[in-house]
Amino acid sequence: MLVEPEFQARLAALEFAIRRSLPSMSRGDRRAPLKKGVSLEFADFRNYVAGDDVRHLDWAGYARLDQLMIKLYHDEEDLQIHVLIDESRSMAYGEPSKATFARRVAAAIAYVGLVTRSRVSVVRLDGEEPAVLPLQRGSAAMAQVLDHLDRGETDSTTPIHESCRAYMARVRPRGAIVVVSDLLDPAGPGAVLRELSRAVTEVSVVQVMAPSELDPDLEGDLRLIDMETGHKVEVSLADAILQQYRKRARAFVADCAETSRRSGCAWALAKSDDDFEDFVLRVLVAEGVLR
Amino acid sequence: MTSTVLLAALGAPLGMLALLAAVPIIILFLLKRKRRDQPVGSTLLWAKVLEDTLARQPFRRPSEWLSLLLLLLAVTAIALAAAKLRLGIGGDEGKSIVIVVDTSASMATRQGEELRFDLARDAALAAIDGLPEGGRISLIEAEQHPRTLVHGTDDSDAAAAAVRSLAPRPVAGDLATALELAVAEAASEATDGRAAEILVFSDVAVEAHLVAGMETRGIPITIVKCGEATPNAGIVEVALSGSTGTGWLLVRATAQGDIGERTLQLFRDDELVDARLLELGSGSDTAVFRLDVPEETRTLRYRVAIDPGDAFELDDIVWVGASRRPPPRVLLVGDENPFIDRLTAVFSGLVLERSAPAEVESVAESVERPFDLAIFTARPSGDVPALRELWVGCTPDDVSIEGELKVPALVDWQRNEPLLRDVGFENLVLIGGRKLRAPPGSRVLVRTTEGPQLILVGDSRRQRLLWASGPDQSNLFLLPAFPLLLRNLLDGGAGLNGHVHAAAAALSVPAGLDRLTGTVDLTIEAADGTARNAKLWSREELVWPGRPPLGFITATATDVEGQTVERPIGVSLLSPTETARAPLALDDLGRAGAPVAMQAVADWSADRPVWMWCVLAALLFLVAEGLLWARKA
Repeated sequence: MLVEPEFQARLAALEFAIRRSLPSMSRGDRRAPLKKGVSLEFADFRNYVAGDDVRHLDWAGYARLDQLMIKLYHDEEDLQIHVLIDESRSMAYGEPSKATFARRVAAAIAYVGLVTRSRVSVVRLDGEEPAVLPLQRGSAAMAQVLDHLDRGETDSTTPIHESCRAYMARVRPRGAIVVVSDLLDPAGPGAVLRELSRAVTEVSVVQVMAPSELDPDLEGDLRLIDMETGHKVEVSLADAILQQYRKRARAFVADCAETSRRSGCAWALAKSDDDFEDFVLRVLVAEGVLR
Repeated sequence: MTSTVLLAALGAPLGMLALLAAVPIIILFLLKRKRRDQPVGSTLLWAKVLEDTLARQPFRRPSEWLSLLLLLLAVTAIALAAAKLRLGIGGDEGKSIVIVVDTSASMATRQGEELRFDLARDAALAAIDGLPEGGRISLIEAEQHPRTLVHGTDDSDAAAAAVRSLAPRPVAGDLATALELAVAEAASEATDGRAAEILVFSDVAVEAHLVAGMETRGIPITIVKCGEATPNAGIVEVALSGSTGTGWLLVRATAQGDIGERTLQLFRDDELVDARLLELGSGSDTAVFRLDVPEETRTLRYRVAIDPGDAFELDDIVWVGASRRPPPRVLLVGDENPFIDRLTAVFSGLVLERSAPAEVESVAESVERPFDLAIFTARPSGDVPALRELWVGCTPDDVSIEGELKVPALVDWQRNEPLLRDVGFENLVLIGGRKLRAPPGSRVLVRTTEGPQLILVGDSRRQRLLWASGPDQSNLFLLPAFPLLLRNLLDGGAGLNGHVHAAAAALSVPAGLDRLTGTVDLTIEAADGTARNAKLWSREELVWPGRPPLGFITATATDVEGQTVERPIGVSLLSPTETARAPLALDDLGRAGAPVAMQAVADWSADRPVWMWCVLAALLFLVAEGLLWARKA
């Protein structure tokens, strides 16, 4: 089972972390921490500018300070969370596979969104035609989420940034996007984030790598075959080569982290053999994906 | 202007089979390149790593092929080394070499694992191999009678086959004569406008002065010394004699180098019967064995061996055949002489017969075998079958006595002549007499102031001792030593005859074996099974073709009545020169002024032995490949 019932109870204490105010079509139960909108709860003042609603003028403050101020109130919005999971063939690599871990992470994040009454969509990025589970609300939708995730086949050979482009063109999402992927795209991690940032969304990146992708336990003279593209590389795995690879892998991960942060995205790294619950409860919270 | 041509030759072409090692190397290399497939999530990072690596080390990628190339080069170098690649330098007109190979007995001396002759043979074959295209080869065998085996041929295979047919012979060599032949051969080759040189492959166990004075006619001579001096002891002389029941075997051994003591063993019919200690520190020693011969024994085979043997084995053993000699038979032709009659008292068992000069023919017809000795005091009317003859005061038809002695006085006599052993003529008195005209081939044994008095004519078949003066013209018969003279003529009387033959001499056997008369069927058989057979008159001889092999040769004669006589003849080296002469040192000939260059066979080479460099190249290739592998690791 992707998310154990006992763990679901712990997930219920979490909520999705939003770092900035997001445009939404309707008010929801979700309190937006940044955007000042119309509600019953006073939030703050600001100077009046032409065009503001005069109904929100703070007349008492004008009497005291002889300065026109507008009252700001907490705006309660309806959050859309779009969980995108990479279903390319590269995700099938690893022991356990990256895809297994990624699906569990996606399921956990989806559950957190559902129990906090956000609307959650789960998308399998498996090529030119991403498989989209439309926005769902409420914990009762979790079964559909799990079922949608289980049908993933990690058989796509389409680079993930192209799958993201296809999704963005088709769905035009709003709200928050969480992409769970290894980001092993020939165009680089930046291409993925650029596609996802076309919309006014908040993007979080959960990068899943297999342990042997960061620290290979291979040896000898090998012909490495790319599971996704079929590309072949012949290597003779001497220590020097392995050291260079590890260095290159660390650099890649660092590049993904830096690119994410420059793009204003939260970024978390997981290895497919990490403790899943610890990753969700601790790492995702620490990296600002959940709180 | 002559141009130099680099010629390559393989001394051992089969060594190129080592190239087959390249097959498994290539197969393993290809199998190794056949890498194990390993699926990975993505090769993006791996590709970047390899790009980085190639950027930093542009020559790393071809290293696998470079490694294969180095291995193949090493295999090729090893194959060329195994095939003994050689490079020679040749001129346009070719060159003639005259090869002299020493096949004397000393070349059979063992040097380590090989014989001196093996070293010489291999070096001669290398010289033939190294001859450039168009070269000519002559081959001379330096043995007892040097001979040219191959005259100026360009067929190197034939020349090589001739070299391979050679073997050490149990004879003393004559290197000086062989060099003269070689110079003549080379000079004839040089008249054709060719460059000629002489290569001599020998242990150079010769006297330096024999080579020093030779005429080279400007032909360069190189002596390749095949063998070093080794301590050697060998038997150089054997003599056997004896009377009925007892015999004596004298053996003389000599040595070169530090030998010290050796044991001399006597075997009779392969059974060790006696031994003596030889003290060879002074270079020579003699041992005498007493032989006890049973009455019924007719033939005996003795073998004498030095123990322990040494590197030169041919002179460590001699074979001595012996046969019982019947009582000597003496025929006196002429007037009775009381002094001759005394012979029967001096020599026990001697049979004395008398004949008048006119009756000798009837006597000759009646005898079954030749007389051991015939003494003539008057000229007979016919021929008398006798092994030795003593003529006193008369001569056979082919020798003349002339002149009368006036005041003869003894001058000297041949003290070293075996027939005069122990016989002294100090008390000889000549009161007149005649002098002999010594015919060609005769030897004067006693000489007076007025001419020869005693001469020896004939050969081993028939020896004639001719005393010029009559019985009443000298005190010959009265001399105390006269019986000793007769003893020498009779070989000591009845007893044992020793049959010892030096291998260097031609072997001829009287058909009747000095016992049978008439027509005889004679067979001579050597120890190696080779045999000769003939039906001859008893006084004719059968000659063994070539040189007899070492060991026993058995001669068996059967007359028409079926009477059979056997004679074992021991054939041995018995060569003081081959036994005692050590090889010259490298600078001995130079110091003697010999116009030759000499070098040791280990330092000599027909041409450039490139194969050694091939071994070095192979090692370098392997080291380079090892460094590449280490870098890759």
